[in-house]
Amino acid sequence: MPTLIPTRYDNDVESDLDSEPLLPSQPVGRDLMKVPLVARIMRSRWYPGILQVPVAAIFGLVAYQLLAGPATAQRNAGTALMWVLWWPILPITFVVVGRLWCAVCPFGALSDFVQKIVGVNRPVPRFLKLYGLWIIDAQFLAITWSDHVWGIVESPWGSGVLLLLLTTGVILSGAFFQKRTFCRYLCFLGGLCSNYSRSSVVGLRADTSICNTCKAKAACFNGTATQSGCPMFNFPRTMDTSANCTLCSNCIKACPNDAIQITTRKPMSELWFLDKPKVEESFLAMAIMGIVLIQNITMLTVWQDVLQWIEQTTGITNYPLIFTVAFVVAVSIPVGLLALASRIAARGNLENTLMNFARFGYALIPLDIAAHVAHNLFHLLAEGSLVFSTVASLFGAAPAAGATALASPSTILILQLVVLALGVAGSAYTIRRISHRRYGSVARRRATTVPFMVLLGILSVINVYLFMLPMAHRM
Amino acid sequence: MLKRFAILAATLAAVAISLVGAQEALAANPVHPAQGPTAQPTASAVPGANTSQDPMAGMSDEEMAGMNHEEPATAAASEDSMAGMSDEEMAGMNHEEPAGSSHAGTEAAPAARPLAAVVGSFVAVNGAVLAAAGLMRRRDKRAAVSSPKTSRSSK
Repeated sequence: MPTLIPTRYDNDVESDLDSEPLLPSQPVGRDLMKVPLVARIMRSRWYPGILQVPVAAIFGLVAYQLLAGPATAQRNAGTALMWVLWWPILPITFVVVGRLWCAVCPFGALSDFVQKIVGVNRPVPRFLKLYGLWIIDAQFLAITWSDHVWGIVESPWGSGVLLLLLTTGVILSGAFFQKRTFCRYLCFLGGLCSNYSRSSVVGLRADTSICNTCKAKAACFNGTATQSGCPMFNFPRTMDTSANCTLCSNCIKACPNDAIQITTRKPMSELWFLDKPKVEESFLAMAIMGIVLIQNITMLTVWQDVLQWIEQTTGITNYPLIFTVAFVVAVSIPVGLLALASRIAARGNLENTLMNFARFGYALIPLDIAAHVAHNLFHLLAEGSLVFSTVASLFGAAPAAGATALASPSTILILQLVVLALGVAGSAYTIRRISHRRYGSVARRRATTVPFMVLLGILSVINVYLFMLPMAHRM
Repeated sequence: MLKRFAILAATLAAVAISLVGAQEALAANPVHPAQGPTAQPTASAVPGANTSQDPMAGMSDEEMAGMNHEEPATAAASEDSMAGMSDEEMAGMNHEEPAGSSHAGTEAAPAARPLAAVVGSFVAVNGAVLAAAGLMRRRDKRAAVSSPKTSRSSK
């Protein structure tokens, strides 16, 4: 459920104020369902199950390794597969194929299985619909905090316990609530996926001209006797975002009219055409930016100095407390800067601050993705050989010692900065597109664009600076 | 068309600037401790982070010639330095890990993992959840079967 934001449209009389119905909508791209191979795959009864099986098998191996394998991260295949391979690649997949990962995620499959066996199918609690995204925001922050205080990424045991906790949440949700309540309203990774997948180059939409004549009683949503409906509570006929579509193809198989299309679109284009921005999603975008900042800072040689400075300034000697101070500051910086830019823009664009915060937080998602990918490129390329050596050690090979890098330091740094540059360009273009779509007059566009461009510049400089400083390995 | 060229040019310029920036950064830090296998780990307060590298990694046999892993004579002396100290004198000294502290790179004792307790709790909790859900489902089905009769009789 969106957080409703009051607008100033009703109170302000402005001749150049764009009215909602006149706003251009997202153009429809090429329908990939017209490509025979894609259509055959999406309509196949083997999809996505044929992908879920190997992923579930690897997940089982990872979970076993994390809980019962070697205690050190650099010898543990579970840690390497999870944090060095899967986690860095994941955000890249969101940009290419949206939330496809969620269609093959073992947690989703587990939820479906539990539901089939013992599911009570209660409706989603109202508080989850209202505050689910805030819960996801809080979880994301809590897990990152826990990682630094108790150790999750560099501790196989910590990662294993996290997986068990998530599995418990999935089983609870699947046992008592309808469809994939956990994936939609509670999964912290789902929150990340939903934000990032708005930038993807494919999107699933229904052909509303066909839907208007449909007599199938929303088969795409409710399912049929032989086919489940959308597990993520989407109604394709009115769906205007890819944030909660996993491309599971249930709606495609259930629709008797072949009205569902998978269309190509320009990367990030969904961000330009959002009509119902949500504060909590913008907040998540900024929180992720803060998390990337703190993740980068803790890997720098200056981190020790930062800790000492906090200790001397505040008198706190307890590490978790010191880290909490640094964490709160790092997350608050992007959130506070966005709030400030929104306030400044509100003076000139006749929106209120909250609406600006909600609307333009999305514009920073490309920078978010870029910073996230750039940070994890380091782990993937500098620690990547651990994946091969630890997996090989499962088959009896001696654990490799020494080099872990797959690419030279200069290559990694150049790739990181190129990715960041693309993210900055994407965010700048998105700010421009949103303000040009919303506001007719040059003055209002300028009053909106300038503060957010300055914000983008500040965040970009901070990111570039941090990436250029020497970083240390995580494992 | 001109707008597209402008966007393309701006993107290329951003990429070019970042490439130049990367070269400058590398020039400023010729031995980049980040990604290299011989990078020196930094003394980070982050538990387990960046303390995991072998400082000898990358050293050749020649470089390590003369180094041996035998205990130096002073080691024994240092162990003895506490000999004779009373419990009171050693009060406040302990070797427990601070909360959240872990040292990646050092093999943790297997006893540190309460595997049986954690997995046991996991199985027990989820078993209870599944059993409760199963019972509720059964109750719902019974209620669904009996409710039409009730409604008919009430009519």
